[in-house]
Amino acid sequence: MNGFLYDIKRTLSGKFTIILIVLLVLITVATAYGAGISSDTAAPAQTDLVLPYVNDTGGVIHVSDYVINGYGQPVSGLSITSSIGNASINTIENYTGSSNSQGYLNFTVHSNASNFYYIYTGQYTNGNPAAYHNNEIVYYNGKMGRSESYSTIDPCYSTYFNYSFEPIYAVILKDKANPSQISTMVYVPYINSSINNQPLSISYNISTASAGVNANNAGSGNVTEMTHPGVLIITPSLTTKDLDKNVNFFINNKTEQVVPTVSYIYTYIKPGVALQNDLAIYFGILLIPIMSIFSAYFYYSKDKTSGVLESIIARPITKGKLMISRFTGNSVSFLVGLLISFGLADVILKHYTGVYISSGTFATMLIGYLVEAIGFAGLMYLITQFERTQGQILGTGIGLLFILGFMWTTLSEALLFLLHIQSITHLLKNLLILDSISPSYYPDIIADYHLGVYSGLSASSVGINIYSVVIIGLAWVLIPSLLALYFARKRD
Amino acid sequence: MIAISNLTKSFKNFKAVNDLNMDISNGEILGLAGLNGAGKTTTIRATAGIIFPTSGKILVDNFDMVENKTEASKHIGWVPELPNFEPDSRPIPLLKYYAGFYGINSADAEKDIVELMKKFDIYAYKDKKLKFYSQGMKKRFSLVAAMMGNPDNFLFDETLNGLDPQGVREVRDFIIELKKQGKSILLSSHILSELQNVADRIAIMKNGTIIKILTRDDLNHLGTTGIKIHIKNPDDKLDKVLLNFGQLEYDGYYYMIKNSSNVDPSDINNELVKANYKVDYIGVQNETLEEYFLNMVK
Repeated sequence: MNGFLYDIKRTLSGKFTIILIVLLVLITVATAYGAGISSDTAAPAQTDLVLPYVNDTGGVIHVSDYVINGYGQPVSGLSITSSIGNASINTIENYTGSSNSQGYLNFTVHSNASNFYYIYTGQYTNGNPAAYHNNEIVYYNGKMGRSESYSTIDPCYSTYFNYSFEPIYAVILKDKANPSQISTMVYVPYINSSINNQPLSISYNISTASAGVNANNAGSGNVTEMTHPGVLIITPSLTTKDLDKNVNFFINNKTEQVVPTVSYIYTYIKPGVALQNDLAIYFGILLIPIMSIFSAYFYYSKDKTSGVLESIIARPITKGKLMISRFTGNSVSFLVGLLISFGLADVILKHYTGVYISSGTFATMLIGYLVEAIGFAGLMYLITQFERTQGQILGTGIGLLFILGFMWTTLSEALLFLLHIQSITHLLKNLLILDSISPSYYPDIIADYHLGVYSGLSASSVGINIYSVVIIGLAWVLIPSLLALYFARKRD
Repeated sequence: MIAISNLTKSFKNFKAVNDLNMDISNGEILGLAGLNGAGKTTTIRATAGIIFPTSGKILVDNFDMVENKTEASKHIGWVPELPNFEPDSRPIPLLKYYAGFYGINSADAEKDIVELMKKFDIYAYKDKKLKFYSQGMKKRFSLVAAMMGNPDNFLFDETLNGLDPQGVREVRDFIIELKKQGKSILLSSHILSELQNVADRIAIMKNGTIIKILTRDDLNHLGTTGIKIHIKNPDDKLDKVLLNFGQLEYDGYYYMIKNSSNVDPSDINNELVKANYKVDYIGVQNETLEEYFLNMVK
C-alpha cells in the first residue's frame, strides 16, 4: 500500500474519526427519534368514526349512522347509543344498536317533530368509545346542522352542506402501508335518498387558494368512481412541494358538479422532511461546522503547527500528497459518519412512522451536509497554510463559524439594507447569492432545490436549479481544498 | 551520496542559507559546525525535504529532493534536534505507520522495529505512549524512526544533545557502524570534540555559508602552535623575559607564547632557570578545534 493510501487508512481508523462518527450518529439518531415520535404514523390515533345522517320524511325520522375506521373501511359491530329529543329537550326516543356488516346502523323513529336533536355515542362492545367530538346533530325545519370541522381528532374530518343542507363528509384517511399516502374519503349520505343510486365521481386540484364553491375548474388528476353508495375515496398525488396548499375536491354526478367543493390544507410533513427540518435548526449552522473545524484541526492543522507532520514529511511522501491524504480521510470520515447516521435515522423513522426517508430527501441531506463539512474543512486546511500557531488556527476557525454561520443572515440583510434593495424578488435572489457564499447554507439551498420552493417562491424562479446547485457544491468542495493544496506545495 | 549545490534558503528577507555547496560521499561522515543561527539546521531540514529551498539543488543518491521528493526520501534518514512525534501514539504502531510509506508490510516492519528498539535500548518501553518518553528516549526512538526503510544517507542534527554519556557513546558507535556500512552521514553538533573524533571532514558554517572544510589531515595540524608555561614564583619581571621569545598571553595560570614556531622550549626553560624562576610546566601546545573554530567564526 503506498504512503498516500496508508495515510488515509490511518486517518480513517484514528481515534478522532471514531469520536466524530459516534457523535454524528448519536445526535442524528436522537433527532430522528424526536421526529419519529412527533410524526404521523400509519395507524390513526383513534379508531372509528361515526358519520350520522338524519332525515325527516314527515312523521318519520330516518337515522343512518355510517361507521368507518381511519383507513375508510366500514366497521361492523360498533355499539351506538343514541337519543332523539324535541326542541323542548324532551326525549322522543332512545335507541341502541350495532353497525351492520356494511358499517351502517339504520333506524327510524316516528315523530311529528320538525325540529329535533340527535345525540349519539359510539362504543365498542368492550366499552371503549369511538372517535367523536361534538356528537350532536340539530335538525331544524328540514335543515340539518352541526359544527363544521373536527380537525383535532384522528381521523379528522369536515362536514359540508349543500344548498339543500344535505351533509357531505370529507375524511382524511391513512394508508396502512404508507402514512405519507394520504387519501380523502368523501361520503355523501343523501345519495341513498334524494339522489338515490345516482353515480358520483370525484376529481381534485392543488392550489395555493381554495377553489371556492363555484369553481369552474373541475380539477385534474385521479378520478375515482363511486364504489359504494355515497362513498368515494380519492388519493391525490401530494408531495412535500404541496405543503400548506389547498387540495380541492370536486364531486360530480352525471350532469353537474355537486356543491359544495370540498377542500383542505395539506399539512402532512413526511418524517424524512421533518428530520431534515429538525436537523436544519442546529446541524447546518452549528454542529457540522464545529465538527468540521475540529476534525480538520485534529487531522491536519495540529500536526502541522506542532511539528508532528515533519516526522511524516521526512518519509517518502510529498507535502501535497500528505495534505490530500489527510483531507480525503477527513472527507471520507464525514461521508461514513453521515451515511451511518442517516441510515440509522431511516430505520428509526421507519420504526416509529412506518415510512422510510425518501431517496431524494436522503440524498439531499447527505450531499448538503457533506459539502458543508468538506467546505469548512477545506477552509481550515487553507488557513493552516498561513497561520503558525494552533491558537491562531482554532481562533480563525471559530471566527469563520460565527461569520459564515451564526451571523451570516444578519450580515447579508445588513448589506442588502445598505444597497436599498426593495423588490422582494430581488431581495430573495440577492440573499440566495449571499447564502451561496457560506458553506453553512448549502444544505438549505440543496433542500430548497429538492422541494422546489425558496422562501415561498418557486426555487427555479430565483435561480435554484440543478446547474447552480451542482456548481455551488463543487465550488465548496474544490476551491478551498485546491487553494490549500496549492499553498501546501509552495509554502513551508 | 548527498550532493548540495548552490543551496539558498530565505525566510522573508533573511537568508538563513546562502549559496551553500557540499558533497558527502558514501562511507563518509561530514561534521557540520557553526554557531547558533549559522544555518546548520536549515541546511539539514532542506536536505531532509522538510522545507523547500529558495534556490539550489539537493541530490540524494542522485534523486532531486524537490523534483522527486518521494524517491529521494526513501534514501535518507533524518534525526532531528528536537524529535516531535505524535504524543498519543505508542512506538510500534507509529513505526509501522512510517514503514507503510516505504512499502514494508506490517509483519516485516514489526520484526525490524523490535530489533531496532532492542538495539537502541527502548524496547522495554514499547507499550508506553511517546508523550511519556524522556528527551533521551525520544532521541533513541528518533534513531529507530530514521532507520525505517534502511536508507543509505543520514542526517543527524544535534543528535548528541540530551543524551547521557552512555547514550553519546552508543550513538557515536552507531554512526561509525553506519559509516562502515558505506552510508553517507551529515552530523551537526556543538560538541566539537565529538566531531573531531568521528568526522572525516568538518564543515564550518557562518552566516549561512560554509567558510572552511577541514579534512582529517587538517584536523591533525590545526593553525598555529604555542608554548605553554607555568611558573611557581612569577614576578613583575617575568613578562619581560618571556616577551623575548614571542607574543605573550596569560590566562591567570598559564603563560602562552604564540608565534613561536622557531623557538625551542628548552631555550626558554634555560633563560627562566637563569633568572631564578621555578618552572612548573613547559610544553608545546597545538591549537584545539574549538580554538580554531572560534577564531574562524568570530
